[in-house]
Amino acid sequence: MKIKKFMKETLPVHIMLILFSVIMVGPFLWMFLTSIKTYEETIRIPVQFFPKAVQWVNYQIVYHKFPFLTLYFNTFFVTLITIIAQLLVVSLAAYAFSRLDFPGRNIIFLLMLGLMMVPGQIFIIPRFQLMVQLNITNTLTALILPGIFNIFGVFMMRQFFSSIPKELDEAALIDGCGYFVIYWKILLPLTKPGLVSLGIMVMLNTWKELMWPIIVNRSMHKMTLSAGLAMLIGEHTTYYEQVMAGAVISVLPMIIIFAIFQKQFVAGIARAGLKG
Amino acid sequence: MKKMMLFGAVCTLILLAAGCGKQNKVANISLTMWDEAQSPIIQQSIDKFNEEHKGKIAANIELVPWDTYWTKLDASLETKEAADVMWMNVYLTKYAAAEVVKPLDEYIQKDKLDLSQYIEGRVNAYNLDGKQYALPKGLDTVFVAYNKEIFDRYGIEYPKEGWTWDDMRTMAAEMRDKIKEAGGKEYPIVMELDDQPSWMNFVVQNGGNYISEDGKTTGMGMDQSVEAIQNMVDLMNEELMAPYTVLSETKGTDLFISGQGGIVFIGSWKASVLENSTIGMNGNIGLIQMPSLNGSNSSVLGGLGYCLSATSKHPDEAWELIKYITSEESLYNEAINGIDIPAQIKAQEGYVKNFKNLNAQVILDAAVTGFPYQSNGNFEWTSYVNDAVQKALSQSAPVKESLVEGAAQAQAVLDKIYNQ
Amino acid sequence: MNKKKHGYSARKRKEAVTGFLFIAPMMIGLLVFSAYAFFQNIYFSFNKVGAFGKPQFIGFDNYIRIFADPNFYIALKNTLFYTVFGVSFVIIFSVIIANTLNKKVRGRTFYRVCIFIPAITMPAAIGILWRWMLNYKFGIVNYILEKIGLQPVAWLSEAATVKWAILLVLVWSMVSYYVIIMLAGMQGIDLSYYEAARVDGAGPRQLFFKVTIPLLTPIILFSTIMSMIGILQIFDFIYLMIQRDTIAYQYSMSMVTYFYELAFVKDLRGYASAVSIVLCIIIMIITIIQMYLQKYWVNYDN
Repeated sequence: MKIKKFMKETLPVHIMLILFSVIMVGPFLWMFLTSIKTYEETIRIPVQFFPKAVQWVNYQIVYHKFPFLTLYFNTFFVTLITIIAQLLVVSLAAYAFSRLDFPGRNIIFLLMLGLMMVPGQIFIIPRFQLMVQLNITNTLTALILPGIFNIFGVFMMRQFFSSIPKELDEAALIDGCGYFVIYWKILLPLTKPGLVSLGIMVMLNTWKELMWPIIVNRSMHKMTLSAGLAMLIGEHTTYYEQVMAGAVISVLPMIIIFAIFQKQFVAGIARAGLKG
Repeated sequence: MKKMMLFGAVCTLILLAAGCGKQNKVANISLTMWDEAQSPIIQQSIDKFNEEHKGKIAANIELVPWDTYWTKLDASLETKEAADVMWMNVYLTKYAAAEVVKPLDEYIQKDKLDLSQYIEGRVNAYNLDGKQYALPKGLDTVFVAYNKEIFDRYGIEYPKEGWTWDDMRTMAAEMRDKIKEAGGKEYPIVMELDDQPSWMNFVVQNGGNYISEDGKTTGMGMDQSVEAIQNMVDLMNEELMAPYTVLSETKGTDLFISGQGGIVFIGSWKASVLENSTIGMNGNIGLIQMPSLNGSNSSVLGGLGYCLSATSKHPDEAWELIKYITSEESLYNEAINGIDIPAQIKAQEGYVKNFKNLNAQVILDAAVTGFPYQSNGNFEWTSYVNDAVQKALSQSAPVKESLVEGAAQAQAVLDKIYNQ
Repeated sequence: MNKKKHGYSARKRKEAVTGFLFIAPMMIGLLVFSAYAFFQNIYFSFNKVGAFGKPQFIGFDNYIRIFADPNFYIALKNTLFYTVFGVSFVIIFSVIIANTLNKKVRGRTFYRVCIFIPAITMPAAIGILWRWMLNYKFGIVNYILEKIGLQPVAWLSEAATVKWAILLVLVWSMVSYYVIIMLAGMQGIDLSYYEAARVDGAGPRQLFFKVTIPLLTPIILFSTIMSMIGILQIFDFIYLMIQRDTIAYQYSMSMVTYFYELAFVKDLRGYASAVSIVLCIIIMIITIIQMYLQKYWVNYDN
């Protein structure tokens, strides 16, 4: 009976899940396999699955050709600064929209929401010209600045603030606390999950962002990982074993971090989605 | 929460401080270029230069992939954050017109630099309105490489000097049949589908043109041009050349060096790739001039030069760099490492010497009957023609139709520019 | 009495001032980087803007040019193709996969980590990977196709098939992300709903269609809008996977790819601005229609 139940209910589920997993992870395995072959092995027809000997040298070559350490540092730096700045700016504004009454509050909020719907390309050319005028092209600053003012972040954090009962504010006010103190000491700590979500979103965005870095920055040393990897394709796509090695170097750390912190990651992404 | 933020803030400050770096009195200048194959050798010259000017000048290379080189150059010139020295080709007209590159005449006169040490054509290529905007670096030619091992395997005679397009077709047909018989998967002919190493050559050889001498009319709609492109399409249809689907994804050179092609039309900038390939090292690569089409086998001649940015903060030092990297010593080093044919005449002997697996004299000889890459410095019209060629080659539309239409659209733009 | 009133309005004023102060950083940032940029973009669209030199006013010329531009229509058609099929496949597959992941089986966490991996990978890496896998001669996808008796496909070099290649990669990477969201949504559904339905004799299929899906509709709406906005702006994959001067590039071009080409390759920035505004209007119209239609199929908790 138990075996029958297993066959009928659990086994099909496992099969499906295995199938899905293979579809999602398979390509990455191929990425890795390619990265440890020699050039001739990668272009052999018919396809050769496994290399005769593992070619770790490919990683050495790519590592020398591209400043991966710098790329990682840049990505990390941009992410960190953006998160810190964004948390402060965005949560402060979200608190104000949620708790404080001031003339025009709702109109301003609606206008902001409207602005959020505008696709990013609208801003690119003018922002680029602005960076040119301010003379900050080809800097990490140029990558950080526009990203700080995240409207969706304000929207999401406002939801979080609004879900905290107003009695807390009122109690604190009666005790004579200023608005900033209420925000900083009382409410902000209560919205930790929201802040974590925000942080994760920023990290994913910086990680993935491609167009802006390649437009506003010029040297490889000022690129984030994504843009740097895109430059890897450049003129010489020939040696895919090297390109794949580069891709593995770029992708592996995030996968490892994700595997360890997956609960937080998933919760963070999900929360951002649900609050929307 | 608060602790985290404090920690983050401290981290930030430390990183900022580290990022600020030290101030020094050394003039830092940069050279921007594409082509990662050449950068290690050029780096050698840069290292020597830095050694000589230690404490005063420090030069470095900024490598940008070809795809984005011009976009980035434009952006950087706008911001006045450009590299001091840059690789330049036929696009010079645009930059000279916008005055973002500085003419070198003053420096040339002051240092009494002898320009006759370079190939005249290459010096002139960078001379506009009587002003010398760049010093020439190198020379590109186009020729044919063939894989002796494949020819031997299928019992085909090597191409002979003076061969014609028809000779090539006959040879390729024979090869195609023998390959099929043996169940092989190689292609008799492969090529890259960019203008310089392929179709621009054929168009001009056949009597057509990409853009007229006075730069105002495009001849891509002419019968001769159409015929040249049609020849390529015929090659593909008759299975004498790899199909468009393959060639547009994998470069002809890559196919050739992986043993997938009998002959390849190739540019001299890929010479070191040939030299260092497995087939090359086995002594199985032969070089020969392109087959003549309609009596001509003229090669497109290109070449690069070094320009000085008009907004460079260290123009004098940058000039020193330009002078050095185009000197006989520096270009000889490039030649002996096979990365470029020097425009510096004396340095050229290093080129043939360098190649152990190739008969590099063929590459140099192609320059004798060559013609300069056709361009009028403006690029608003080129995509109409280039896209039309791709359409024709991929047979998304008939050759004549695509080219005539593309040429007409391009001409409309040209007319607007030149107000005719 | 007086004192109380006085205290009240003073407090109100303080609140208002604080309010403005607190939103100030955000507002200033938005004004500089977004609002100003928004209007400047509109301004550029009425000018001819090149790589160097000042904008020249040319009125509606750019917009008129758009109407006659065949490349614009190709880009528009492609973008709509990616969006309609992309959103449909992403939503359908992510719901199915999330549902399967929601079942109580052993090793659930392991499966989850596997399935979520594309979601946290850079599009750059994904693009490069698939470019290699879809290579006509050397790619593993064609190898598998041949092994099962099908013809190899010119995924990235033929005008007819290249759109499907992009769609494939797009769906593959986005499904992973939306499975996370759908799964979270499913886990938020009160089990009592299922209990009640089961008591009524509902089987697994009915549970899925009559309980899960209806209660998931707010999340589905959110995902539809978000994925749609995302796909309408697709750029990365095309940029990374398709070789520039080939026919495939022409025929797979999205609106944002076209915008990029115009602005940063051809230096036609005024024209690019106009194109970006048309794209913006299209996105807004579609979003508004979506939001309007939601009342017909979305169930909210009452």
